[in-house]
Amino acid sequence: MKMAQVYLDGTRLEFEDRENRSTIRELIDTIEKDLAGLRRFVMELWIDGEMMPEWRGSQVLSRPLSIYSDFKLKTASMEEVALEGLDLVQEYMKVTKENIDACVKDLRVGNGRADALMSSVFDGFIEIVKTVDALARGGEKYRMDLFRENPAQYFNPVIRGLEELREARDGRDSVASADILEYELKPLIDDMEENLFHFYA
Amino acid sequence: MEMLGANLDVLMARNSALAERLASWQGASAVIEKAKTGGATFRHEGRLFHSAYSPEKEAACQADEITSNKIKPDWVLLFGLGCGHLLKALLEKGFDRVLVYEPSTEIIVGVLASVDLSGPLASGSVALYNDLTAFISRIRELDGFDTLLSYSTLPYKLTFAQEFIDFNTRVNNAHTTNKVCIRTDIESRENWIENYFENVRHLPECPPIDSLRSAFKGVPMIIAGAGPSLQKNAHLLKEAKGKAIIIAAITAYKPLLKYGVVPDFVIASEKVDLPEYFTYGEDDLKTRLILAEVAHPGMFERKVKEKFVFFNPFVTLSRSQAPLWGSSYFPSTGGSVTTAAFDMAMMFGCDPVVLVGQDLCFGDSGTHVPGGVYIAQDVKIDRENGKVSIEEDYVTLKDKARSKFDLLWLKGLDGKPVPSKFDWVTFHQWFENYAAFLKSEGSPVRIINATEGGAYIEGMEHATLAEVIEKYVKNEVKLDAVIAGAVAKRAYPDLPAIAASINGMHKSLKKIGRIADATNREVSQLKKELGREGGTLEAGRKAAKVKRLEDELFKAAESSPFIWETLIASICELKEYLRRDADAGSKGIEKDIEAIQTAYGKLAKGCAKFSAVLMRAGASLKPSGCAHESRATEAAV
Repeated sequence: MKMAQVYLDGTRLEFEDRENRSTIRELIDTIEKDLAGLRRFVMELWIDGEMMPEWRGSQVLSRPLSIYSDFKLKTASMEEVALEGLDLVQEYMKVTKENIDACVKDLRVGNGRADALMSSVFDGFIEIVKTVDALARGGEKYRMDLFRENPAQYFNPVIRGLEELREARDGRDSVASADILEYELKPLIDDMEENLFHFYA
Repeated sequence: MEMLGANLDVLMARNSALAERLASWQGASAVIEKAKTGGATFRHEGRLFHSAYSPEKEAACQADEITSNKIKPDWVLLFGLGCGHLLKALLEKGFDRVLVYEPSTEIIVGVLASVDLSGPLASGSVALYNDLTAFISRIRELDGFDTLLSYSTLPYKLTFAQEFIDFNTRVNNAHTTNKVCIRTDIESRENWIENYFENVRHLPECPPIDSLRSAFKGVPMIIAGAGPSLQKNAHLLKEAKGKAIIIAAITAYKPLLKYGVVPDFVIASEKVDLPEYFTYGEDDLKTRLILAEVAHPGMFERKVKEKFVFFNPFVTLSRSQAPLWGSSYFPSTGGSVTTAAFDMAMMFGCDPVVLVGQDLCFGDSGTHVPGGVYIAQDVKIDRENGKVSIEEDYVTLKDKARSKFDLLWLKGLDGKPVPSKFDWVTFHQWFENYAAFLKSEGSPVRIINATEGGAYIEGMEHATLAEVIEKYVKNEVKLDAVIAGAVAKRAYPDLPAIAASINGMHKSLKKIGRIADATNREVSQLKKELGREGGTLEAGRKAAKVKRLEDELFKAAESSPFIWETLIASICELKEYLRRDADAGSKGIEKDIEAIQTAYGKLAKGCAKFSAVLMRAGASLKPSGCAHESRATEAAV
């Protein structure tokens, strides 16, 4: 019977695929358990020469190992992962601020793109909060000092602002929507950028 | 209330009707709040109209958007005054040709009671309106060459959605008609003036229409247009014959005959001859023609019972000559003979004044009632691209005639939009303005639109023709006797004064022609000097001379304003060229000189052409021997 070959950072591993019923998730879990002591994570997953984007939490993890020939896993240190997360959240903040500026302008002058831009702003804030929260919890777990102050203090004002924005949008109050974006939500991002980070990734 | 008073004082100078209405306003007014910066804002129907943080910054952003447009607007039309932040921002940017329409009296009163807008409202050409009809009238006064930019902030668009659509439709209609009117004016004016001088020989036999002033007090008048709906009620006009005055647009004359109705008057003003509109039989001899002084001379040769003439207010020549013909009446006209007839009805003293066949839109069967000069019509309306194309068989044409128009919309009798085009929209605006004017003057005359299809006319009563006849058309009118009596008392034309006036114009025309020729020669030499090495100094002298000649030409033209009107086409071309030049950057001095040469070349040619026309007109007023002599002189010239 053909055995799937597993490589971790270029080194081949022996992995016992019991009765050919192990899943990719079991493979990753087993490896990450071993890596935990080394403060490392699996960052990239390649299956049969193809890199899997967005693989964490995807359906691909529930597939059996036996249907593929080879798996290549690349790891990164906890610090590298955190740095990448910080980079990502700062990128989200930058893009969300740009979207806010464009959305405010469109709302003020009455252009038709405002609705689409506002959806992007909502998505941007959700990603910012999710990523900052994940980083904060990861930092606590692995004892990494990722933020200068507790980021959770911003979550409620952001949620409140988004709720007000939703109400203004549903009431088709373009001026209130623009005010909330320009004078409430954007300053929150400015504050987070200024106060949360030790440095810019 | 001090603030309101100060604002209304300023407003009084520019729109007294609005200022008076606001001063006596007893209704609710918007509650003005303070933004974080101290500027004003307010909520209306639960919606914030300006930023609660910085309305000034918000307005600056909007003003940037307006002024950053690639094509600079000559006028900004604001739908919504708000607290005046945007108006102020535009003024700060040096943009002072702003017309503001505020749809809500509640907002306007609230704002003027709390915000000092006395400065902005007195600036440049700023004007504030709360009445859309008055606003549209102002738009109709703008130069059709001007670029208009209509702008509104989102809260206004959302809160006053229907009003905003109506505003844009009517502004668009008004500006389209302005542009078209300029084109029509340019295309027609030479013909009008030429027709007028050719008609001089006929006019002594045609009493001015104001000979009938106040002759039909309280008599109903029915004005028949040739709209498609005329077929629904034209048969009823037989009942009205002899009890009301029936006046038909020339296009409605033959269709009415098919329903057994010979109108009392037929009105026409076309610059071209329209022989196909007549029967050349008994019916023609039973009706009277009302002709514009600038109608084609052929129309004055038609054999009818009697001919009357009216003088147009938009032709300077007519305005100056009409008193010499014994007329002091210039009908207000919206571009169609039915609009002129409507004003004449008022002058006659008629009441009620009733419209039929005035659809002002495309009907199922085409543009006109069957039975006229259009044998078959195929109208295609392309809603997506906003175009209408018409293919028709015309009574005198072998091939099909094809035309294409921009599609415009009017409110229909049932409230739904009806498809229209620029000329009908112009007439429609005129009728609505006229109705509003009559109302403002407190006129007791009943004006009724008994057209049974087509556009709704705001300010008019709407009824069926049967209802109108039953209610108002009851008593017999001794039309022939009244007309004969009135004509007998008419003021006769002062022919020697007319001849002297024509002679004076002829002299001026020759002088202007000479100056235009001289200007052109100097411009040619200027062009040569510019092309010659070291010729700049001499070119400067030539340019100064051209300027002096132009001044002399303008001065000479002042004494004969009709000449400028007549030859406006050449000047308009120059204006259009200079405008394109300003928008797209100069095309170079040589091109500029060519444009000036073309303009003055055409002016000189026009002068030469009209010199002969004036000679003929002058000769037709002289006794026959002199006329013969004059024609010989003309031939020699």
